[in-house]
Amino acid sequence: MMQADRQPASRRKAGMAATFQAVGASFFGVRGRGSHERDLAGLHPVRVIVAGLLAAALFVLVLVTVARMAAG
Amino acid sequence: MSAVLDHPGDHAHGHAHDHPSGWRRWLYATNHKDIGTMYLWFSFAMLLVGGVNALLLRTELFQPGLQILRPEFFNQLTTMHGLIMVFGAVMPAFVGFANWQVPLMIGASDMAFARLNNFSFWLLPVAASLLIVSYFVPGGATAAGWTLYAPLSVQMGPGMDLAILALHLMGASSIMGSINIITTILNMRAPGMPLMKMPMFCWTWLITAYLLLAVMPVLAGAVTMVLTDRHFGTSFFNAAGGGDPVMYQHIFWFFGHPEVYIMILPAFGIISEVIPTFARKPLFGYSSMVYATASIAILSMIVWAHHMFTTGMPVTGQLFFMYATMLIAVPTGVKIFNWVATMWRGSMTFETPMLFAVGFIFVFAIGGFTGLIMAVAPLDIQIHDTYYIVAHFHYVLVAGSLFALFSGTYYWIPKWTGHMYDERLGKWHFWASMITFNITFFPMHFLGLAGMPRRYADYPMQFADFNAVVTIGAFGFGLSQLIFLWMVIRCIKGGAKASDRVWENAHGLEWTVPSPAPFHTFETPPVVK
Amino acid sequence: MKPKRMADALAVAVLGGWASIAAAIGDMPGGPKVNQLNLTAPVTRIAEEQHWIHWFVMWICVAIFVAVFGVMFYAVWKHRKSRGHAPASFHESTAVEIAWTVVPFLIIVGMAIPATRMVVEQKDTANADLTVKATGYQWKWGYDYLKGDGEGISFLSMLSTPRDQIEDRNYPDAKARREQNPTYLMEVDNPLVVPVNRKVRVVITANDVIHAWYMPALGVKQDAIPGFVRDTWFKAEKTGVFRGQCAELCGKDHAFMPIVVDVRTEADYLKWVEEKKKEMLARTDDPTREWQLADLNARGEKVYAANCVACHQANGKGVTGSFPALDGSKVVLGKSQAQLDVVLHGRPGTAMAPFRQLSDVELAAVVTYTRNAWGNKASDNVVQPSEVTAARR
Ligand code: HEM
Ligand SMILES: [Cu+2]
Ligand SMILES: [Cu+2]
Repeated sequence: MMQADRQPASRRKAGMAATFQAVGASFFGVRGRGSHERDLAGLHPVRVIVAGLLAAALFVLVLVTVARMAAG
Repeated sequence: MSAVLDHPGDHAHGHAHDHPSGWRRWLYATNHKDIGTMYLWFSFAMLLVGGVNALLLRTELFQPGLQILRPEFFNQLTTMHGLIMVFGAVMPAFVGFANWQVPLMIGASDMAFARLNNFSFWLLPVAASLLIVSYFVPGGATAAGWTLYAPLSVQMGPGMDLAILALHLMGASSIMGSINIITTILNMRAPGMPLMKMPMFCWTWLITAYLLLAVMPVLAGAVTMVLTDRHFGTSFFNAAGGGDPVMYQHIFWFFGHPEVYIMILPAFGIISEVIPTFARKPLFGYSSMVYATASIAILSMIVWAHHMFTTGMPVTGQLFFMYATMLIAVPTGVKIFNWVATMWRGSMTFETPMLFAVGFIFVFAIGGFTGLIMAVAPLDIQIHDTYYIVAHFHYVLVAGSLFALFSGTYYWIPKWTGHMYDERLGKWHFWASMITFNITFFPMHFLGLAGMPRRYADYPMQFADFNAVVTIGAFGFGLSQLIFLWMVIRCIKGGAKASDRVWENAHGLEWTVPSPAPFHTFETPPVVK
Repeated sequence: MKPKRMADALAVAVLGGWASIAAAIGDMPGGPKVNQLNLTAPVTRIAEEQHWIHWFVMWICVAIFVAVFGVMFYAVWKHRKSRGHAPASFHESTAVEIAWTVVPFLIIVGMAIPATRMVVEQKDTANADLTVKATGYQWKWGYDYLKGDGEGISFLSMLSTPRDQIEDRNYPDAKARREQNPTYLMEVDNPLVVPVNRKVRVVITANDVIHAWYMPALGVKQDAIPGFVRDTWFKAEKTGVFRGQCAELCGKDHAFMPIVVDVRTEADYLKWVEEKKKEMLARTDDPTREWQLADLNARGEKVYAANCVACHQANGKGVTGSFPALDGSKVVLGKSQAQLDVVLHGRPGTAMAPFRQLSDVELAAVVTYTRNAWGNKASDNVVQPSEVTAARR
């Protein structure tokens, strides 16, 4: 566990759901230490970046939609 | 990884142990501690230069009427004050901290790219000289405000070109510095230190470095477009040629808003080191803080137009940027809750680093609240470009970034010099700074609400009293910083011998090496348990 | 104690009993009050709502501030080592963290709802009774009445505070004079006149750099962007004179281009329109007439004082390094065509803006004036308005 984040990226197996969960936690800004450790051990960096960009785009889209609706 | 540092057969940069002395030690410096020291002295010198600019401004503003400055020179001083403080004082100071502390905190022997590090630093004095020389060219320094809005910046004389060049150099320096910091943090941590055990200061700097990489090129682009509009016949920002002056503002603030977080995230890092030490309790919600920092960094890239509510955006744009800005206040505010929870039921003592940290939380929060108030777009219409904004960003940048830098300096200076600083001087410095800071900047809220625009060389009589108070406060604040200088000099010269751990409850690898930290540390990586 | 009196007392206390300069002069009619603490007294519904939302958000912030720092200072006081408090060791609670993230989020939603309504209202410039164009110039405002009563009226509006109240360096008794002037720096020669209780749409643009049209009492601030038009609106609910200033850094005299709006009753407004139209008619110059040198010079001196003196200075010597001298200038002494070109089109990339907005007679007069003033004796020394008319094409 201690060397967890040193695992070669190819051996990290966390799926898309876990990746999005971690990214979502990041947007929300709260994460327990246990889940945090799991994230760091299992997540694939490239996937995190892709998921981060997708989530950011989604976030912008949602806000734009809300703004449009409010503007009437 | 350490291969970058000592190639055994390479004589060009000498073996690590026969480091040069005299001026060569500094000019050819590759040691992270030497370079960190240079960054810190440079930024302090810039703080004084920028401070003298500010005091000249405040002297003019002491009373209504024009006494000592012509308005065109007044505008040069405001512009230079902003540029020097942001790019010369605050940003390099944090890089100085990163240089000294990141390798010590992660158990690395040095920064990853030692020569690049040297180059990043030496670009800065060159850039600073350009800025200072620009006062003496025909027409003087640029007077377009630190935001350098086109088309005013297109109107300026050659001082503007020098400023653009200086910004390019400082931008290049920041980018190289960031690459160095990212590489160091990702590749050179001691065995047994996964990212999730890394000190908070390293985390905040890692995220800051990515932000820098993302937005410094944008600033370079913006000022280059100004340059070509000025000299090469382009019309990026000129309506007559099909351009748009407001586009400049979009580009600038796409850089500018992340930039303000670049100046505060490492400060959050320092505070997150200091509070647990003096509360004798681990940082509350470490993992959440890491995630919240990442969240701030991402959100900070989509709020830029809250600086532009009065440009006349469409309703949807106005609403989008209002919502996004209000949302970013949440993770920022939550950090404050985390620090307070760290202090809760601790066993606190209040040495100077802790005083500055607690002072930081208290005063920075006021800046955060005014940020929230300005985020309300229909209200920002009233207060945009008034002294209210000036109050806001000094609450977050002076009481925020600068107080955190002071806190960090008192915290680590025993490690840097091997001596304890004079606690009495530290307390004097804190209380003098805290009181004069508020005398200087609190009345600015009133002036702004009452409608006094910023960057004004003269003002109506009804604003006279608060302006006089502000000027008196400003001189007090300026003088208080001499206490700091005196403290630093005394601490370098001598003082009680500092122990290795220095503070009773200090945790982290930097406290396992002797005080002062020897020239070379962690040549064999420590093992973290 | 009233907040205002408290502020005075505070100011005096901090200044160590020193007489308050601001209190001596009194509140500015239609402008800032002495040591004003809050937003300017509202005259429109928008401004009133801004007051409301300011207090609303402020009280929320104050409540959170007191709660958070109450807790912090309690801890600072009680949980000290010197009081023998032993440290707890907790360092995480996901439930607490979720709570203190969700609650602020909800508070923010609560703030965003009224704010959204206000944004929509502020942006609604439709159905105006009167449309006025405001143009920012370095360093004055120009107004053109585009639609509604008064259509066709057009004038410039300039700071009327004399320099001998402002520049202590050049006028030793400037201080004494400005201390007699309660509207110091917030007064103009020709205010914008509008009717009360009518929706006025202000179309805003600029001629040179960005300015901002800022009227605190009306709750309006809109950047004036060269080459683009933006608009805003207000509906003043009280008659009176209201004052504001340029809010976007626009160069040297940024602090010296105030805005004054004179709100009148419908009848008074219509009377003003009549007078203004008559006055404009009397003032229209015939650009086809031949003018005498002396008349052009006399007129030109006034135009120069209003438009050029800020940079090129009264003595024509400019400011070394920033603004070139006209006295002895090659352009001024050379062919009139070249000088007209500069005046009409400006010098892109410098502070020299185009002055197309001046009339042919005004331009002819000012060009003629510069060719004969100071040490200048241009060979081509009289420029007729007809030449300007031709040069414009
Ligand atoms: C709670 C978080 C914050 C919010 C909601 C916020 C919001 C705002 C808004 C809306 C403005 C534009 C005001 C205007 O021009 O009308 C502004 C200006 C500014 N803020 Fe913040 N802010 C926050 C935190 C910070 C921090 C942490 C910093 C830097 C350390 C910062 C630095 C600045 C600066 C430098 C300006 C003025 C730039 C200029 O016009 O020259 N802010 N802020
Ligand atoms: Cu911002
Ligand atoms: Cu202006």
